[in-house]
Amino acid sequence: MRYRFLISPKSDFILPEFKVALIFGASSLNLFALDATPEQLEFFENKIRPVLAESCYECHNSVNKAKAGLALDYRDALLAGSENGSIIELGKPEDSVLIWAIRHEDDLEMPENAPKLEDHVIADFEEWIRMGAPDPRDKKPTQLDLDNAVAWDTLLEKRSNWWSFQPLRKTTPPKVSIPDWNQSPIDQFLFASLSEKGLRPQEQAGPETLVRRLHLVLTGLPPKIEVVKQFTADPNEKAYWDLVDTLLASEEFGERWARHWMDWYRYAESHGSEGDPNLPYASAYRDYLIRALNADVPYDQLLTEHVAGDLLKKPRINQELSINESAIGPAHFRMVPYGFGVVDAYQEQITNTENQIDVLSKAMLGITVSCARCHNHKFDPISQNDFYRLYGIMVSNRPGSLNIDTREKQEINKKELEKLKPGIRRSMANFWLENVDVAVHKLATFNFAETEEEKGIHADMKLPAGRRKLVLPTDPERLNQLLLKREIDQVGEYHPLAPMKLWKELPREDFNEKWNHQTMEHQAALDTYEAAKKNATFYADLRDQKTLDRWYRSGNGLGPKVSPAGSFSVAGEGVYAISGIYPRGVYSHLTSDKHNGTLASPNHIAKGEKSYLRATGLNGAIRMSARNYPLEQGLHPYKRAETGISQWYPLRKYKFWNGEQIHYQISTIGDKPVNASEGRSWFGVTEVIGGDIKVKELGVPLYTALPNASSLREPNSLLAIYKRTLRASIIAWKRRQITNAQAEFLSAFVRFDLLPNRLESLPAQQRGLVSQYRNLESEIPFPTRAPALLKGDVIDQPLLIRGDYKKPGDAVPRQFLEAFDNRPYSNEDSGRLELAQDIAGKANTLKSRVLVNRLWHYVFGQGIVSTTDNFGRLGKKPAHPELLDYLALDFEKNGWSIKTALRNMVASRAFRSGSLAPDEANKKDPANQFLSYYTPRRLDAEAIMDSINSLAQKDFERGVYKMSKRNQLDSFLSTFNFPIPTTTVSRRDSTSVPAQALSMMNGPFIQESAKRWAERVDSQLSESSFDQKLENLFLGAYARTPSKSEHETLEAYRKSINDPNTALERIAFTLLNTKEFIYVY
Amino acid sequence: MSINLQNRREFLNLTSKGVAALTLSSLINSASGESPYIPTLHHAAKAKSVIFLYMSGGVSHVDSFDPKPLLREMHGQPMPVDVERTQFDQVGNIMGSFWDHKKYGQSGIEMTNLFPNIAEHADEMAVIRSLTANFSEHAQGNFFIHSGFPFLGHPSAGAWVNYGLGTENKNLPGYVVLQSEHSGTPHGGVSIFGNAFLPATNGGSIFNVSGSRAVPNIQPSMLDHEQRKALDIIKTLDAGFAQRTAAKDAVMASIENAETAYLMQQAVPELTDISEEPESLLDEYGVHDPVWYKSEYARQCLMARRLVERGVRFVELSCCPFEKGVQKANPWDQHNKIEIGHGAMASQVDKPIAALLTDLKNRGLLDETLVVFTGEFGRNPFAQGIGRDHNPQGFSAWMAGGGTSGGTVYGATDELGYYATENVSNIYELWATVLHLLGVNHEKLTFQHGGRNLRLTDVHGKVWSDIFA
Repeated sequence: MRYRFLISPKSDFILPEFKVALIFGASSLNLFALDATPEQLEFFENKIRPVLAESCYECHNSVNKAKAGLALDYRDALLAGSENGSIIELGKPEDSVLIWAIRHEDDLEMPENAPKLEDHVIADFEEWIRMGAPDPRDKKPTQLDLDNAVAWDTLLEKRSNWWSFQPLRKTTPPKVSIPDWNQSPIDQFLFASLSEKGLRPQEQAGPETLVRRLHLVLTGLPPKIEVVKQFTADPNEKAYWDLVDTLLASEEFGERWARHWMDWYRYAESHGSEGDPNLPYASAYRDYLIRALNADVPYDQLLTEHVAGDLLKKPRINQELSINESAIGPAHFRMVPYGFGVVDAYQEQITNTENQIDVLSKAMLGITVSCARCHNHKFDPISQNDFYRLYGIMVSNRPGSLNIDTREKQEINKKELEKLKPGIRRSMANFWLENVDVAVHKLATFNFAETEEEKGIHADMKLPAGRRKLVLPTDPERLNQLLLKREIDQVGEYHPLAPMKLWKELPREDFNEKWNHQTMEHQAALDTYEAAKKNATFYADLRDQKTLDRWYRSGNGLGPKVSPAGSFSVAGEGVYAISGIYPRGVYSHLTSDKHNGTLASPNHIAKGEKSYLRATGLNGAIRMSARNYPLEQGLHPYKRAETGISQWYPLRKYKFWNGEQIHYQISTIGDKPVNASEGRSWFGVTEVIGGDIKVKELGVPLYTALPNASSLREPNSLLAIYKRTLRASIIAWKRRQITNAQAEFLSAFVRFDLLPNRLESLPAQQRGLVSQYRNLESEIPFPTRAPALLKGDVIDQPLLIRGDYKKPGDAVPRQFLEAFDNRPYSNEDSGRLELAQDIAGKANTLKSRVLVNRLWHYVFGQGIVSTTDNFGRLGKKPAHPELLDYLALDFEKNGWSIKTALRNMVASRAFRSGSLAPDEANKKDPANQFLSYYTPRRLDAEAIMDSINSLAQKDFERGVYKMSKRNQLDSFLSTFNFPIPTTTVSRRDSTSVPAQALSMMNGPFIQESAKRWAERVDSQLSESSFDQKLENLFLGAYARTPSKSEHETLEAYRKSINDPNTALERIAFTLLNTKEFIYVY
Repeated sequence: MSINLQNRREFLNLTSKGVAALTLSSLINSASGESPYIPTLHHAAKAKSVIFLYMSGGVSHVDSFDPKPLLREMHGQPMPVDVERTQFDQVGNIMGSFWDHKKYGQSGIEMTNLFPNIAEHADEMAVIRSLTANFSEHAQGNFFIHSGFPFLGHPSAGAWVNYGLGTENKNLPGYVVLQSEHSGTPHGGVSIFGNAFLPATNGGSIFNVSGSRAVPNIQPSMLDHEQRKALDIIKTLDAGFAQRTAAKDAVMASIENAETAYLMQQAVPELTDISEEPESLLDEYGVHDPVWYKSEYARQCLMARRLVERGVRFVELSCCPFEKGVQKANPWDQHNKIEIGHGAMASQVDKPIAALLTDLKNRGLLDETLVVFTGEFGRNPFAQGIGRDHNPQGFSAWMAGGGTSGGTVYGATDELGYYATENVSNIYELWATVLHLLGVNHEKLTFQHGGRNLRLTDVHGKVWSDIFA
């Protein structure tokens, strides 16, 4: 065969070479095919078949769907037509229903719900029918044939020709004859196209209009009266530029534009659904945007930060706040809505990952990738593979929070404190060695019986946190007693101090018997535990360095090394000096419990009955997460480690999640992915186990801490044993030879002040050292945190066939979109950093176009591409492609400066046009795409609210700072089209509904504001006439003085109001209710 | 009051002409240049309005509209089939129903006596016993059943209906959600009733029928003649503004809006004033029932009739919990003590709903009003304590009026009521059917958003033509 087709030879249905060979070789072939020349068949293969397959087969096939009884997937069916008759008149395109339908001439507009086929494609079909519809498809296809009907490569190549996927084109602004319009490229482009369309631009607007317009567009607030007066007095060119620069430099600029940006990333401070749990630290992202926009951080930098700011080698450091700004960028990935208490974690993961991808692709690229979850995109060069490329990148991270303080701040006094610790250890050990007898005596005389009050408190402590009415004793002595009794109660007979309780309760012989019995039972339990470890489906020993190396660490409290037995913590506050001495393990607080930490396991497929994590801590948050689901309730176990001694914490729903991908996580309470709270918190962890076992609490029985085994059998004198063991433990601690059991044993004596541990009871030297420690520790700040993505297992996500997770296909390597790049990402981490580079990189033709178009949209009221979030086939084409590319290139050339881009836009003559349409504009350009005038439009919700507040109050909180809890959005803002934060919105709706009128007419906000505004004007101008007050109201609301007729109208209105004291308030109320007030024009 | 002549002329010009034609275009952005959607029927409509009796929390189908005698026979035995993951992970043994069942009406539909008064309307009911949902948790279930998607951001069915059909009474919103003093919003929040990406007029408006102020900000802030005067001043100023900018259409639409809002101030109190209703009718509904939750729901039912009478397209009712302040979001959710909970909940809605059906019928409204009764899922045939956990694998709904065929049963679950087995349906089928009866093809009612043509039924849905009259 001489000719080759572009279609891949995967299926015989689409492999024409074979078919064509048959056609020429066989004798029993259909007339149409026989008549067809090779050229005609090539025409069919190149021009007709791909279109049929791409645009028609889905609804018109002979396998699973034939709308109107029509199948177009093989020749006989095509010729048979639909239930209404034939669709093709061979040789006569004009009489063919098929042609009417694709030309949209008939009621039938095909393809349905899709853009009309391009004119040249329609012409091809006409030509094809004229030829007699040559068609080699002689066999009814199978489902597989249909699936492979159009090779993706072919479609990709074709669809990548869409304008927005083409490189930015350098364009030269045309010279124009009107000097006013020849000053800036924007005006040159605009004027040239206006002239071409036979449109005249509107005259320049008056200074009072311009000063107000500039303020509202750049800051979202109306101008102050002084500014209006100053500018209108002498509105020269320099004054205009000065005004622009002042506004761009104002704090209000960032507040305004951050809010736009927040719409793009569906900013929210909670996750929605039942309970609407808070997303901790969400506002850090808002404040980050405000700072970044005010500092005019280059857009490519911000884009990079949004994807992988936490991973940058050279992050942006904010010296003033001592934070890593860049690390806040990815916070938006956390702003997904979550379902509550989900029973299907995988389905939930697909849903929330789709949301991340949806926002990433719309906000950064102006295209929709999320709809390729189930199949290749219908119109754009986005494959199903693309979706899963990004999916893998997303799910290789886990939701969490990050300590964003600078390294220096995170490390404050760390070295100094570490240096102090050996001295504290030595001197405390020496002091305690002198007090062994005292300590054991104190234990021996301890009253183990619980008082009624203590019983009540203990019962209360067992309740869930929300239902506790607990009032703990404030006296440290009493509290100490209570906690000791409680700990023995929790840990049981294997608590190192429990034998003393028994000793006091039982006769000597009974005690001996019990002791031996306990020892044997404990050893049997240890055997069971050892066996359980062997048979565990998951076991992690965090006392083992290799295990820790495989786990994921975050936070300044966690070092890379496992801490040895005898590691201890000095209390940063309270009456006691040492807060604990620990067995070998991983601890977050060995320098300070203001430090933070998150420690998480690799993924594991749950299998077996039970699972436990051995931990200790103060509000240490223990979680088991299925598919990275961050919420905690019911099926999603969460426990708080709140014991000073290590204990097994059961993770109750392990069996429920059998077969599902889970991981374990323990963190300081401020780092919980939801419902975090600040304050001192720490955790220690030693082991995790999962499988068919029920682990008993092994505690730290006294016998395990004994210095030698001989005392094991004959505890004739328990007091002596305690003394010997305690002495040995202290010495071992001092010499750094302590065992795990000895450490917990010693810790019990220390934590409960049996060994003197009160700061005030220490000798001067020891007290001095601890005070020195505390002073340094007090300088450690609580972490500044931001929502973040933490490292997790790197996953190449299997493609889900038709989006169904029960039908996984091949794993898809993590990469950027096919249309731009095919370089696979490294397996070292999620690939976010590489994705960030690709998104901000050269090959991506969308990023700058999308951004400058959005800026244009907010400045001029509508984008050059009016569908600001869709630059794909279903979006609108640019009204000014040359201008758009010019702006994008200029933007990149100017260091990706948003302020510079905005400055150029608002400085243009086009921006200064009046807002009344010239006569011909309504006919020739009803949507004002070519900007013959400035498009007047209603302000967005925040600008309305802020405008009202700025008149009524001196200090007020701007709308951007309103709490954005998904289930409790501000009702005033919502009424004025504040978008529900679920996906990217860069073009807000601006509907007009009665609820708006009701809230403006009757709502308390307007009533109250009108009153306050009138009062302010009244008090400022107490000596002035009504006219002057009226003028002041007008200047405040509209930046202009009233016209004669307005003055007359309102004068008459004033006189008609019976109570003169309310007249000004009534007028203020009417002004707030006017459209002019809530319009920028 | 003197308004100068020029203004007066503009004012009249703006308010008398042109405005009516703008009602529709007022829904859209004045500057967007896109033409508004013009509601069109795709085929002849059977129904004009929908009353959606939403049973938040999930009614046990095996204790009501899909009785299973086998459950009593097998009471206390373990489930003979594998059990799906449940919300509370507390899977008990099979539990027989606390309610007896029998055949009702001439059609002889088998139902329990949980809803004795509703059951008497068997010959008006089309019972669907094969409904399924994709989620077994409330918030996702609520979103799913309302919008076809499990999370916020998609329009509620009422919004779609309103969008597709347009309004018949511009002084009232087309989609009204009724609530009472003690009722709540289902888990997921008010977005469940939202318009999402559809024009905002289509979103659900919450009317609290307990007090005098059913709608926020409906109470005028000043005396009528003062408000009228203020509105006229505003109009005058707006008219001037409309002349000075190219925002005339939008300003006129806003003027229209303010007028609508003004009229709503009267329409809503008129709606909620039931003093003209005969006492006997109020008693049938139970408006004065001494049990607070019964009287609150009765008032909602009566109000539903008054709303559809006034041309409101879609009315959704909200159940009250049977203990004040507890479980407001999901009052039907009896994981424990189902006998008490379902008993109390059924006693709340049974009589008022039966009265509503009778009242609609007597007024000749039932033919054009489609009544739909469902929760977000059913409940398991096996016990959780002495209650039942959620069962999305098979549950019941019913419809009445609006072109449905009374006395019919569609679909079935297995003999334990666990899985739907016959004519297995999803919420998509329910809404496809509702839209069909309203004269709308569910595949054609689309809205382009975020690069996709979105619909209430996503990419699914089949019309239950078997239940048509």
